[in-house]
Amino acid sequence: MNLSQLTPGAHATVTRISELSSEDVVAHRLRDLGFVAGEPVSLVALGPFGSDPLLVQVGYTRFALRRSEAARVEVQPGKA
Amino acid sequence: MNLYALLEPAIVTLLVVFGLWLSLRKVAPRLSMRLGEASRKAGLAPAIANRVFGPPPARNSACGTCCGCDKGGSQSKPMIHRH
Amino acid sequence: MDSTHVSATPLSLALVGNPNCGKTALFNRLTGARQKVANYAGATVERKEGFFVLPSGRHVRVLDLPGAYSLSATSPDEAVTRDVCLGQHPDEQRPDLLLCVADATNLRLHLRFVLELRRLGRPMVLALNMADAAERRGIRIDAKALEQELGFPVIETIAVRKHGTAALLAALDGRLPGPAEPLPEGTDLHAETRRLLAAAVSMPSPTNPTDAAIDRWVLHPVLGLAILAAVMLVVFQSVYAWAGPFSDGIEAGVGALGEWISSTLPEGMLSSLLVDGVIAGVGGVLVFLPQILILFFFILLLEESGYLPRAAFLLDRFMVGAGLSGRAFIPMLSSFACAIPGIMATRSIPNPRDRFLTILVAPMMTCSARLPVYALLIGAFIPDRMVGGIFNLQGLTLFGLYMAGILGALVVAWVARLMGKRASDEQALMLEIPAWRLPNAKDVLLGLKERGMIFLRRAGTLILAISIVLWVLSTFPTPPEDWARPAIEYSFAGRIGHALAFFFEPIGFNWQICVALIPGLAAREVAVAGLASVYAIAGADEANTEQILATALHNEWTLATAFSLLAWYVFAPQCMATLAVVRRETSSWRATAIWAGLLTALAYGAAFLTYHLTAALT
Repeated sequence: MNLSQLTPGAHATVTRISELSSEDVVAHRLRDLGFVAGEPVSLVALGPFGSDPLLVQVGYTRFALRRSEAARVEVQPGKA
Repeated sequence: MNLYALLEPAIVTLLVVFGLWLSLRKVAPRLSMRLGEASRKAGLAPAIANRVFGPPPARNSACGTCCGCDKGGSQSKPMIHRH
Repeated sequence: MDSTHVSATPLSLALVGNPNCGKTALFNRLTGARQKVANYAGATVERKEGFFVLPSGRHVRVLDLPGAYSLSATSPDEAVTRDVCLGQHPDEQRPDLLLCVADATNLRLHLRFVLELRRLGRPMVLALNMADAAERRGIRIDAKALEQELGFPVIETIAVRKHGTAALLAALDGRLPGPAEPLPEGTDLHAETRRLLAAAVSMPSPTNPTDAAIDRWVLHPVLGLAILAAVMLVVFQSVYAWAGPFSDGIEAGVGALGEWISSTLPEGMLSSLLVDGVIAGVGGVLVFLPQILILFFFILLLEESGYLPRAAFLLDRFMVGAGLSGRAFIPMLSSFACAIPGIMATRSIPNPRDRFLTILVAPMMTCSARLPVYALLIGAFIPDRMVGGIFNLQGLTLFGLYMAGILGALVVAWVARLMGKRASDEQALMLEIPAWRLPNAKDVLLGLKERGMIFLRRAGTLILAISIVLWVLSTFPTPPEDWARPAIEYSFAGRIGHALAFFFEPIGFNWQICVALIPGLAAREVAVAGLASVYAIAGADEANTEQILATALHNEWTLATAFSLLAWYVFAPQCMATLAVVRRETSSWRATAIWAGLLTALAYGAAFLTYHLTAALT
């Protein structure tokens, strides 16, 4: 399961970040922003058009991620 | 002929030359850099050339005169720039 | 090291930190108004430097580096931060001390970057900013323990309060720390961050409940969009309504100065150069200063409060649908006042392709310089009558011109997206939605002053230069004594106009329009004055001139020609100031040429269609 499949309000724990290519800048940046294995995340809200982008809380910070970005974050649902 | 009539063409010329110079520096900074480079090579004192055409480009400033720049943006690894 | 020795050389500091850590507020508090804002040579990254004096009398030079999430840079801004921290930036000496700034309420994210910086082994001090906000939320940070773990000084600061930096100043005044001890090779920075948080920080809840409550309304799919529309309406309305008196004042002042010069100096070249060239050109652009300041006042308020990223969140998908990005919203909104601040605001878009596309479509938003031209033509050709009982036909036409620009921009962006290589080059959003904050008056005013100065400096250099060049074009060569027609027709501009007429004939422009378009390059609305001088019309005062000109145009032009000129004006990039700002922001003549070429082609196409459709219908 990945982050883009969560429902609003759901909590989960990051298991890994999948890279689409060997030098996936987006995946690298996601890790720098704190999306690393073991980190609790939650889906806070969805954008008004096509439920995109997603508002995601990780650590003490909220980020707007597009669906394609959130899809890189593999998660294990449930509150940590 | 009065003094004003004598001075007028000189002031107008001065202002127009100033305007052309300012356009060169502001509208075509790269051309200005190249002209500066050429005039320094031709023997113009660097101090004057710097004043007229601007100082020589800094390294890694993406000025386009040496093609040796780390273009930033998409680069993710730090690069050490050699001129 | 004793203090007399220390005070000899200024200490050089670099402020480093994540975006939204309150770094700029801290910079403002430390330096007051003693700041210098410039651009890094050839790049569009802002360089902010400030100066202050420590209680001991030692001078400090402080550099406010662009906010960064990581030293693995993904934007030109972050690349500058990386290069300066590594001591690799060509224009910048390596700072003596890295003053790291971290938001005390957002340490999970910010401490990781601090640890990344620690790897560099430079002398460091960590400022835990917004200590007051952290305290209010019940976050307890054991600064002493953190300092022990990190091995360099950790100081709590409150950048928005007057004495909030006293402890920091005292620490900088004492003995400076030595190089930070780098972490062992291969340390996981995230694991180390968690360890530090566990050791020194207790946080009751990861989010601020007030923020969450506000966001439930502001980010709501329906209400959020309604709030956004209301905010935009207020901004837009204020820009036009409040700026009016100030713009009129500047216009009157500029006019009076021109009058004074023409009455003081004998009639001749110099008087003409000063009045028709310099004052008309520079003054014509200065009139927009009030609008630009009011617009930036709102943008700064929205930015400081944290609303802008939320607006980008709401509109992102919609803008992506049109081939843009959510971040393009502010540049587009700004462009309704003037394309120049709009194009400058595209700096917040990290992706170069997105940025260029936004620069391409931003000038299609109807800027206020087009209004005088629209007003002249609408007044001359559109009857002043009511439609359907409530709408004025002239007002509807103006609305239609605004809409034509917006629709044109959406279509162009959409086409560009279809043509662009979408799959290979993915556009990233990954936008932080920061905590809500009350804007600080001093920070807003400093930001406003900075924007105003940038604009004034442009008017004083670039616009001045262009005005002089255009004056030369429309004055020389001077006509012979027996020349009966308007003098401008004999000049370079007149000849260029005649030559251009061949190119513009298919869209219904006569040579008079072509000539008037040339001085219009300085600022669009100068084309009105240009038309007046080709038709050799001079009234007792400005309002009178416009009245006579409108009547003359009505008799001389067909309706098709007037509509064609309006269509041309919706899209054409004929404003040298915009062209120059595009050149500067893209740092490329090729991109600027493509930009100008595309917009001209679009304007030509639209004018061609309008001309022939109207001619066929009337």
